[in-house]
Amino acid sequence: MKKFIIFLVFAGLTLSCNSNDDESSTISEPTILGKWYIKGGTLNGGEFQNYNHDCETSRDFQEFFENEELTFNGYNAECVLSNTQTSIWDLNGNILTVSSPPQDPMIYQYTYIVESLTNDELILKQTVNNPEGIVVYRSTFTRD
Amino acid sequence: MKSHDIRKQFLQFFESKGHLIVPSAPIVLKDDPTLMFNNSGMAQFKEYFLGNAEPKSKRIADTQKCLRVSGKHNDLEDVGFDTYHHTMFEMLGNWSFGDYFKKDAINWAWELLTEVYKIPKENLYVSVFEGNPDENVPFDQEAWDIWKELIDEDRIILGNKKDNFWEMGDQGPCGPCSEIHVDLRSEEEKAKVSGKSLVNNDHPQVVEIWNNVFMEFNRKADGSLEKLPAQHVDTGMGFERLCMALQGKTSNYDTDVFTPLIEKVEQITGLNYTSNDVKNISEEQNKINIAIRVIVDHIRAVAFAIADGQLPSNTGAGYVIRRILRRAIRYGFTFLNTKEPFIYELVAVLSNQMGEFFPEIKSQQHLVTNVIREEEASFLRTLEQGLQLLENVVTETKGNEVSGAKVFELYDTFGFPKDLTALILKEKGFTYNEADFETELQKQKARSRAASEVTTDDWKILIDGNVETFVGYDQTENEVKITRIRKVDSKKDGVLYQIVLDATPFYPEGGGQVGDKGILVSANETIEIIDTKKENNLILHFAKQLPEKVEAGFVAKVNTDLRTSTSKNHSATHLMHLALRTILGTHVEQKGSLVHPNYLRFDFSHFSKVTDEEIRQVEAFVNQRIEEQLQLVEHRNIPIQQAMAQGAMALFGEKYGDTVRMIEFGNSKELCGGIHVKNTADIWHFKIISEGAVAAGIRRIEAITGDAVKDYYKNQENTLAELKETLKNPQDILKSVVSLQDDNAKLKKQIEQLLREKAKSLKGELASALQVINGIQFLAKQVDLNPEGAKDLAYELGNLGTNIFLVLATAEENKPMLTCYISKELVASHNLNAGQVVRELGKYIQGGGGGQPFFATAGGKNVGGIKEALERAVDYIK
Repeated sequence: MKKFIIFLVFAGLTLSCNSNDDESSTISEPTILGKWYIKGGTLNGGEFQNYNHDCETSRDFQEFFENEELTFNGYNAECVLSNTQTSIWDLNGNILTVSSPPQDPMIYQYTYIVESLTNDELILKQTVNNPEGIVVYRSTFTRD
Repeated sequence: MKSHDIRKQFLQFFESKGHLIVPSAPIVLKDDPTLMFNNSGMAQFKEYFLGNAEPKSKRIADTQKCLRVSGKHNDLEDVGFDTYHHTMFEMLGNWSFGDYFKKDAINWAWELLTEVYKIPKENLYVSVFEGNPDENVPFDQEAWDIWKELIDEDRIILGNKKDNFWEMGDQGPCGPCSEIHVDLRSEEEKAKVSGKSLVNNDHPQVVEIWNNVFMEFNRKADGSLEKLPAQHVDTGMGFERLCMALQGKTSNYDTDVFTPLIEKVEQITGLNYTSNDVKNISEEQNKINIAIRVIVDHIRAVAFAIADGQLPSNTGAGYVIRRILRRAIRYGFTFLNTKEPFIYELVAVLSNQMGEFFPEIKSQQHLVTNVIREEEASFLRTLEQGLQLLENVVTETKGNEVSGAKVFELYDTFGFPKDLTALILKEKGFTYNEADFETELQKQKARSRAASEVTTDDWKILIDGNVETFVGYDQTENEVKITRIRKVDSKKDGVLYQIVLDATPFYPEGGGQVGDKGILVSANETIEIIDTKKENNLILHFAKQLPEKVEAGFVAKVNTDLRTSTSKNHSATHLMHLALRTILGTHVEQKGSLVHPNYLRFDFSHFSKVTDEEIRQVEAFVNQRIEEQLQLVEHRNIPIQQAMAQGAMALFGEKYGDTVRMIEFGNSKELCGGIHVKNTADIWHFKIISEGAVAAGIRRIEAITGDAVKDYYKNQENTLAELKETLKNPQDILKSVVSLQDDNAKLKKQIEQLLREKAKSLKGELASALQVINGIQFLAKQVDLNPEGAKDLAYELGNLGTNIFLVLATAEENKPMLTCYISKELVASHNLNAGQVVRELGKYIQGGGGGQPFFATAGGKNVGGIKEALERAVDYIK
């Protein structure tokens, strides 16, 4: 699937070059690749809560790379990139799986439903099972 | 008799014969390196046959979900074309672990079939192993004699090794077997041809329904057989075939195991399926029937695999599941003309049918439905895309044979199936080079094999029997004997030896805690144990070399420094888990954990940043419990219901036994098999060293305890001392740093002011340097400013007229930057674009950039390219 998405991106880029579009041209097919800034989310369908970024000028973001790496990046109050975690991502239909990289001593696999993927917005749904009941959280990310 | 009742009667019958009825094991295997899926009823009992564990009862019966789609038992490509092959099937089985043997097994099988299910005796045939002198296995006289008491001798058939010697795989338990076959043909057909001649001859109506395996041997890696420690019975009766026999059908697909699914497909597609009794159907109808059989078979395999936790993916077991589902989608696409997802709609039917015996399909129905729908949508898009790509390939092909490499590329990169490619090519009058395709396929397989090659030798057993125990909760040192050894050679780790001890104090990796390290010491030598893991219920100690005298007595010594540090981090993890749930809320769920001697790592669900204040609270919560000196209360063998009733935290999705180990420190209670401190005071102190997100809605905390905290504070103290020295030992360090910051801010302001004045003075100088070329005021020049100053200057100069074209270059700190300004009027009248200018000129400084049509900047790496970039700028107005 990932190869397929990359193919679509490549196809989109090729079309863009051939048609002599100016710099405002965008890839028509939404892709998960690239940077997504954390905006906030909802808990069990409640009110939208904004994510508190520590830095005013640089916001925390996740970035999907073509080589299957996913990084999560956090800035501290001094606006220094203070935390970067690397995982492996796989998108299959709307099932996003984030798992530990091969050399990581800890093995993990986290699964999300991609509820929305447009050029500007990514919404991931996550379900948490705990003794008190099921919690559904939707995280929203934006391109800028 | 309904299939539901057939299953129920089987289990009730064996319950009445003293068997314990157990649930089916998951279809996906997680801790068996030799198998991806449960492919037989016995797989979940393998440890008992190998003598690695004790069964709950010596007599067990169950119905097991099985999948035969990879390795030696692979029925995938047969499914759909006949009426009896399946990917997923149920195997009814009864088991004796060193208890009853051939006599009871055969008599009970006969009683169930003829008296409970009331299959006419004259429709049954049985087979007995004829023996194999090459492998030193004799004729099964005992089975023959027992059968002779129940059935006419002319209905007993001697079978060869292929049909009557059961083996699970290339290695493992095996033994002679006795099969029961049923003849389902009409009386007229029976009169024409004897059923006996059709046994084991692939006749669709003379089929094996029950196989009684008498497990006596273990097949070793070199192919030889050795006697198992105890004799066992392993029987398997294909549930779908049994239903066919009892419901008077001639096809498994005509039983009520499949008809509800078939009816749903008919309803969705508007096409009809014809039962096996309808003869002389058209070729078109035959294709429809095959496609429907493929779909209703494959949905069962895929749905149960997903319900058991195996999502489709591009590797391993996940890839097998994806292939099965894609095969179903392809048959629907090609023969049922389904261009939209529809297979997911069958999940609800399956859940209604089988939810009572397999509750996981009901509880996971929503997830299974979603995953299949998305897979379908995704693959249907691939198929459409593939059709377009294939069209391009055909257009580019000279002659009428398409390159096999191209077809392989479509198959490998885009998942476009080769038989569908062949079909489409045929319709267009083309073929493809199959030999080239095969070459590419083999090349890929070779690459894959080379990457994952592991050679595992047979176990060399030094002490027979199920003697291995774990004593590591109470001891870190023990006198031991080696019970078995084997060599494992892998590309990744090289040659390692796995050593099993009779009573090991070494904790094997599990529950997030790393495995123990240590040494094995004998009178003559010391062997280093570099890791400890668990596999098939055996604790494996990894060493780079074997002892010279493996039969000697050893003292197994765990590295207690590492063990102690690990136990502190493990207990602190439990306390932190409670702290997070108390401080952040009960939405916190443990998602992952690593307990290492040097640190602990804990992933948990939480949807915002953990603030500095919350981190302080978590640290205080844990340290408070350390100060309270809470004693460890270990419930080593407590019924799981009792532990849960006491409020123990369990991991979601983890499979626990009937009894569990519960670790308690005050009100922190968790089900856990790991190593812990005896008292929280042993942890000494707890300190969080980092907090951040690892994925959406999942935060990660790393923390340290004990000596690592002492080291942490020592380092902080050293840094502070160095800082003090650097600042010339001020009385008040903080005041001194604040003063430096204030001075720095003042100096920054002064520099900015100076640069602004410099830019003003440059403005006059550069204004007089503007040249008029083709009616445009032009200037391309390097200026001694920072990029911000260059921008201000460009705007200032731009205000001097309506026909200005500027390119200014800067090289602050050796970083080249180009700034282009074009009057808006010029942009409109001359179709100029500053963004395009800097992108093109940016190449000379090995960089790029962009911006708006009237103003843009580009950064680069090559200062030496500035000169040429400025020289080329004039080209845009000539």
